[in-house]
Amino acid sequence: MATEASASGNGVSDDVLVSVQNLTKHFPVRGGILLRTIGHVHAADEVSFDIKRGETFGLVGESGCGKTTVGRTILRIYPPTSGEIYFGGEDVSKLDRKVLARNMQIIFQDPYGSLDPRITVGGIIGEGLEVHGIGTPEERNDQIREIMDIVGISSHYAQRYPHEFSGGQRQRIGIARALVLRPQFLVCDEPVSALDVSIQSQILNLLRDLQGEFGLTYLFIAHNLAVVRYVCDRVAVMYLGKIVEQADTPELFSNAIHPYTRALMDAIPVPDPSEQRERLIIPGELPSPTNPPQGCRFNTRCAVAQDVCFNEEPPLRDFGDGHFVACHVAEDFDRRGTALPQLSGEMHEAITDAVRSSSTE
Amino acid sequence: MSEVNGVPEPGLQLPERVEKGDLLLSVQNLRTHFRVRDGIVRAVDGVSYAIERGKTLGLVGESGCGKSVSALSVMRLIRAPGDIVGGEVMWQDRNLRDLSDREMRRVRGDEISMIFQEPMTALNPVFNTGNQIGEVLREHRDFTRKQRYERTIEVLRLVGIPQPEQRVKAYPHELSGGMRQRVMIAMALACEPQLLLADEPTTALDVTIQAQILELIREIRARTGMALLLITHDLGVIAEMADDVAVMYTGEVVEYADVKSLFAAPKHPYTRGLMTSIPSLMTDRTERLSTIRGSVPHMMRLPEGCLFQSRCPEAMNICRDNRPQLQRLDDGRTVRCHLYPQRPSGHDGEPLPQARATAGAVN
Ligand SMILES: Nc1ncnc2c1ncn2[C@@H]1O[C@H](COP(=O)(O)OP(=O)(O)OP(=O)(O)O)[C@@H](O)[C@H]1O
Ligand SMILES: Nc1ncnc2c1ncn2[C@@H]1O[C@H](COP(=O)(O)OP(=O)(O)O)[C@@H](O)[C@H]1O
Ligand code: SF4
Ligand code: SF4
Ligand SMILES: [Mg+2]
Ligand SMILES: [Mg+2]
Repeated sequence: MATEASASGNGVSDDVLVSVQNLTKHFPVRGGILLRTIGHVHAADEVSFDIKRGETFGLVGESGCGKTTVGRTILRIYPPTSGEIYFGGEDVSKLDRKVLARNMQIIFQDPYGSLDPRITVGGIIGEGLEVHGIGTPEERNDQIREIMDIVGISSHYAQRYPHEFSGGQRQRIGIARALVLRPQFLVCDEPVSALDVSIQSQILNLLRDLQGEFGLTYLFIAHNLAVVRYVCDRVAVMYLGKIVEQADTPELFSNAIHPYTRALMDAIPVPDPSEQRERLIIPGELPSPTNPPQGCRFNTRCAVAQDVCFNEEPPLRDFGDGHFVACHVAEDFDRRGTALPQLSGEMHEAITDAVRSSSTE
Repeated sequence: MSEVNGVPEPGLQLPERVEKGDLLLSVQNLRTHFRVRDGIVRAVDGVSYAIERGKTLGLVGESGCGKSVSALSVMRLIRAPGDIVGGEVMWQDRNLRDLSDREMRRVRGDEISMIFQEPMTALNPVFNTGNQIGEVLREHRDFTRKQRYERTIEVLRLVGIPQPEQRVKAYPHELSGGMRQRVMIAMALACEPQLLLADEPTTALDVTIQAQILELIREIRARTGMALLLITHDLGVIAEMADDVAVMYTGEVVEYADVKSLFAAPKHPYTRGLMTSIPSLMTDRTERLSTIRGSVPHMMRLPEGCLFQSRCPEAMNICRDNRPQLQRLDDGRTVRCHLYPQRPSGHDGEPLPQARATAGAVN
């Protein structure tokens, strides 16, 4: 049965490349004329997970739930408020920044804003090599040309500027920049969200090819569950700074347990007009991360919330086979799908009521 | 090819069923161009679509293909350097292009209203919610102050905004993205329009909020019988909301059909590409994704012939120099592609002699 546990093992084993342990990141909120700290955004709270060598670990959730914060704190772009991050068993806070940068890189969501418009594409891609003093200028040029060809941008374009490229091409440039130092680990922060649909699949294929070719390990951040399902081996679902559920991809998509995960999956429009379905709609919005709800953070929107949910924060519990859930009543909704219709009915009723009470008839 | 002064003649542009329907709006051969420094951007170039009373038309296509410009043209909100240079916008029995500015203002926001792609640019930052909606009512209704206030509270409640008496005082920047979108919808619905043009109403929102907004639109549509033009690039949203779909590519409609036929059997290579390249919850995780190669061509460097040719897996010689026309297939849908035999306007039967000749000459 479910035992209390953390989704990150305490002893870091060999097949784990990145281990995130109890990571907390709070941002100060300033206000008043003196800009004193008047509160904190709880962007990530006690987040733990392990990423295995060669796998793609997904982080999903609504915007503002803390995905980017976790990704950037792992790379030490942000210092953590508390908690530890291990890379290949070593505490990253004790590693040299240059060593970190050679091993861990990031691809950003916005292929427009993330490339310096005044620098040539070759310059952008080669910057890391220069900073790390790798090779002679000759050798650096060879490496730039090689990586450009690998990501599918003709190396003839090395002297051009970012504005001359389309969104998809710019994202390829961003990938080349991240890969030129041949890191082992890549944080992909919404790498396709800003792209046209026909370009998204090109980039997803490229990321998959590169993983095979270079044995890369990915942290893949996205809000599109269909993309996450396709790309990731394991997935963690975040809500308001917390991981609420984590499982292997096939398990998560066939046996989602947490009421939030279920609602998230149910909200995806299905591209099949012959399928008429009743969907569950969770009411309300993400509460303020400055002042998260007491008890379970999802209790303001959860149709099956109990008294205990308003007093006690549910711990992330182990349901076996790497499936972790943070919900007081998870047992009711666990396993092999039997409880699903029951939840649907209940939730649906609650929502219909909510909609009715908020509209004039 | 049948052209008069370089302007393609409107042929069988609408699916048969739509053409015979009870049409509320009929856009015919609309052309909206932008004059920019180095030339002309033909953002909308010969687009026709129609919406029946109470029905929903989905407009899909990738960024820059002319979806927003076509809707803004219907509303006559195109500003310099853009201009509507051809076509008709028939609203019931009137051509909106013939109305005076004053008459058009009366239609806009009352009979037809629009939800804009960028809510922040559409909402006036210095007016609170109540004033924004009140302004629409002042323009179109002879209401007293009190009636205006009551109607404002009513529509805010209708769109699911809790505590509307308090929210009327909120300024746009004080609202979340979802709430702002609801305010936009409330504004658009204040005068109970017969047609709502919704330009990517949920694209910027999270899926859970998107589900709420789509449900809201669905509910209002069922309750009021309002017709809807829904612009999106999300085929899932289209499948759930639309009756008919027009697929646009580089300023043209390339395929037009009822939603079930379109998803059951997409005809145009672009539509097929769109449908197969997007991962869905059904996609086989072990397979590579299929893709559409290349990217949308620059609007100022469009090829002769088919505009999709550089990306089309089925391009033929004829596609290089001959721009395909929209034509109606046996099942009544329309498609713009040389894979389907050309028929003379109004007839079902033999391919046009010249089309056959051209095809023969290049093959
Ligand atoms: N003010 C303008 N000046 C010049 N060109 C314009 C202007 N507005 C739009 N265009 C061009 O018209 C074309 C169609 O634009 P439109 O906004 O209709 O695209 P869309 O299909 O709505 O795309 P998206 O999915 O990005 O919203 C584009 O090539 C665009 O660059
Ligand atoms: N640099 C920052 N300063 C202050 N608040 C921040 C900063 N970065 C993120 N936040 C806040 O932290 C929360 C989580 O943000 P983020 O990690 O960007 O979420 P996501 O990537 O899931 O959309 C949000 O409330 C956001 O506004
Ligand atoms: S702990 Fe309670 S409020 Fe939280 S998700 Fe579970 S049932 Fe809902
Ligand atoms: S006309 Fe030719 S190039 Fe264009 S879509 Fe059809 S087959 Fe492809
Ligand atoms: Mg983010
Ligand atoms: Mg648009």
